[in-house]
Amino acid sequence: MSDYTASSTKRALAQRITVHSGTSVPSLEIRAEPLDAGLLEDLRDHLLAGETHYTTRPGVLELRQQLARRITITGGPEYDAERETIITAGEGEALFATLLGLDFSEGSRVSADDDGGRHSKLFAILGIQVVQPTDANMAPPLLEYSELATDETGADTTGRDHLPQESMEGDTPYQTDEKMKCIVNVGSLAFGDSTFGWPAVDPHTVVIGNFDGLAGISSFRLGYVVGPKTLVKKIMTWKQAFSICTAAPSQRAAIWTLDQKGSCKQ
Amino acid sequence: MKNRVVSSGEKATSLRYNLMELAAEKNDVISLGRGDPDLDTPAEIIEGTSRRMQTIPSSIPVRGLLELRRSVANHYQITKGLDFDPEQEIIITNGGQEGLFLTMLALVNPGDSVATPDPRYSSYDQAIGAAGGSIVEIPTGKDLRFELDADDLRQGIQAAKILVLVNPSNPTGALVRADGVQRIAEAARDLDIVVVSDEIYEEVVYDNQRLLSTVACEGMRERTVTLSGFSKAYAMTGFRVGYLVGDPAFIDAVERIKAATSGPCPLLSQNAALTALEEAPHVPAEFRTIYQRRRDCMTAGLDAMGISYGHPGGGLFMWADISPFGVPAEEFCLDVLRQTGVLMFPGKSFGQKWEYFVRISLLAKEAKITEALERLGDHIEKLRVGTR
Repeated sequence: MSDYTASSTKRALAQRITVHSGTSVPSLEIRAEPLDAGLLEDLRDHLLAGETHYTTRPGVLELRQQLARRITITGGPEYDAERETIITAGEGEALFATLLGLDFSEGSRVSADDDGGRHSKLFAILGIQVVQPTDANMAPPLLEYSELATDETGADTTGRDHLPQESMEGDTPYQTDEKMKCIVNVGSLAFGDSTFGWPAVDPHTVVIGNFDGLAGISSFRLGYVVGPKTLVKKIMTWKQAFSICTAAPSQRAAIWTLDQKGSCKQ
Repeated sequence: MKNRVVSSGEKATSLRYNLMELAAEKNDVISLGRGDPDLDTPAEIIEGTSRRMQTIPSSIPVRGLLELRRSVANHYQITKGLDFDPEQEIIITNGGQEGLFLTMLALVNPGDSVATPDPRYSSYDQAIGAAGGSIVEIPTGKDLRFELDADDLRQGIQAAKILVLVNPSNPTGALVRADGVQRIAEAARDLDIVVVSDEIYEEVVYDNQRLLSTVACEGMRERTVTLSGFSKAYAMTGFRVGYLVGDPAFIDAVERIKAATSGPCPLLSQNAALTALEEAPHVPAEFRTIYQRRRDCMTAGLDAMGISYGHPGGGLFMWADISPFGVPAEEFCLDVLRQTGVLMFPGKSFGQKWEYFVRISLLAKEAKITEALERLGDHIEKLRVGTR
C-alpha cells in the first residue's frame, strides 16, 4: 500500500469534515439475539419472489400505512400514508433529508432541545448553528429543532412566535421562506417508549422518528418522516438524491414484525 | 447565508419520476427508463444471505462489516491486482448513490467547482449543490463520441478541484478505454485535481474490453476516490449496498459524515453483498452476456430505424439522437409513452443542452426490447409521414 501522507485527496477534504475530527466513530450497538425464524423465512420468500428491486421513493405503501396507523394509535396526528409519509435509512437520514428539504441553509441558526445529543454532529456538518432554547418545551426523549428568526428589533426569537396564525390552518402550500421551520423528533415513540405521549404537533411541523422500538428491527436501520404533503414532497426529493430509496428487505422486515408480532420493547 | 438547493438537479430528476408515475398508470408498458435491472437477484445470493442472518453481531461498524470490506479488498486484488487496506481504505454505503453524496460532502467546500462530463447523471447536481459547490461541464458528444477526452478536460476544467469520471457512462454508455483513462489520469496529475471515479458499471463492459480503473494508473492512488456497488453487477438495487475506496483520511471523513446522516448500512444488505462476492462471483459475467445481447438487439433496431446513437461500450443505456424528427425529447418521450407504452427518458434529464436526445435502457428481456423497437418504429414512421 502506498503512503498517503499529504495526499491530494487528503488536502482536498472539505472544511466541514474537520468538525469533530479526531474523535472515533462508535459502532451501532444492536441486540445480538437471533432473529425470529418466521421473519427470516418471510424475508427469504419475498426476496425469492423478486422483491429485490428499488421500492418507490417514499417507501413500500404497506409499511407507510402501518406507520400512519401506529402514529394514530399511539396518540399522534393522522397522516395520509400515500402523500405524507417517507421511510428512511434510520432517523439520521430522516433529519438530514428534512433539513435539506426545508432549505436549512449553511449558516442558519436552530433552536434545539438536543443538548449536544445524537444529531449535533449532523448540524455541525451542515454548518447549522445550534442554540439551546431558553424554554425547552419538549420532554425527553422528544426533541424539537426550530429555525431561529430575527425580529425587527434584531432580537432572536424562536420560530413558533413567528408563525402566522392563518398558516396553522387549512392546506395551503407551505412557503419555507415565509414561515418558521420546525421539526419534532419523536424517536421510537410510535413503536415503543409508550410512557411518553405525543406532543401537540401543528399542521406545518415535520415529525421524524425511528422504528427501533420494534423488537429485532434495529439492524434493519429504519426511520421515517411524516408531515404536510407539500413539505414531504420536497423532503422526498432529497431522500431520493441521497439514497434513492430505503432498502427493500428492511422495509419488509418491519412489515412482518408489525403484522405478526406487533410487539414493542418496553 | 448559502442556500443549498440546486434546482436543475431536482428538475432533471423530477422529469424522470413524472414519466415513471405516468407509466405506472398505464397497462402494457415496456419500461426502458429507470436503471433498475429487470433481472432478479440470483437465488444463491438470497439463500446465502438467509444463512448468514442466522447470526447477529452485537454491533455494526459505520464503515460496514469488516468481513465485507475484506471481501471488497480481495475483489480488487483478484480483479485489478490492487491492494487496499479493508480497515482504512474502504467504507460500505447505502448504494452508490449515497456514496457519491457522501463523497461530495467530504470533498466540496462552498464555492468549489466540480467538473463533470456533459451529459451526466443528474443526482450529481444535487449532491454537489448540497455541499455548496457548482458544476463545470466538460463537453462530450462531438460526432456522437461521448467518451470523456483528456484534451477537453484540460481546456474546460478551469479552476475545478474535482473531476467526476463516470466510466462506463450513465446516460450515454460510452466507455473510456484504457488509453483514454491513462490520458485523463495524466491530465489530473498535471492539473492537480482529485478524480472521483464512478465505476458502478465496471462489470458491464462489452466486446471483451475491460475497464481500467482510474486508481490503477500511475500516481493516481493518492488522488482517486473509487465508487462502486452491487446494484448493477448483481441486480441488487433493492438492497442498497455500495462502497467507496480511497485515502484513509477521506474514508475517515466519510465515516464521520455517514455516522451523522445514516449510520451503518442494514445488516441484511451487507450480508447479501458479502454473499454475492464470496459465493456468486460468476454472476456479473453471466449478466454481462445477457446485456450485451440486448445491446446488440437495440443497436440493430435503431440502425434499422435510421436513428443515430453514441456507441455503447458498456453500462445499461443507449443515448440516441432524435433530432431528425423535430420533436423535443420531453414531448417525444411523453408521446411515445402515451401512444405506444414504451418508457424512455428525455435527454434534458441529464443536461440542459440535450433537448433532442433520449436515454433508452437495456433493462427488459430481449423479446420486450424487440417489441419496444417495433412500437417505436411505428411511431417514428407516423412522425416521418407527418413531416413529408
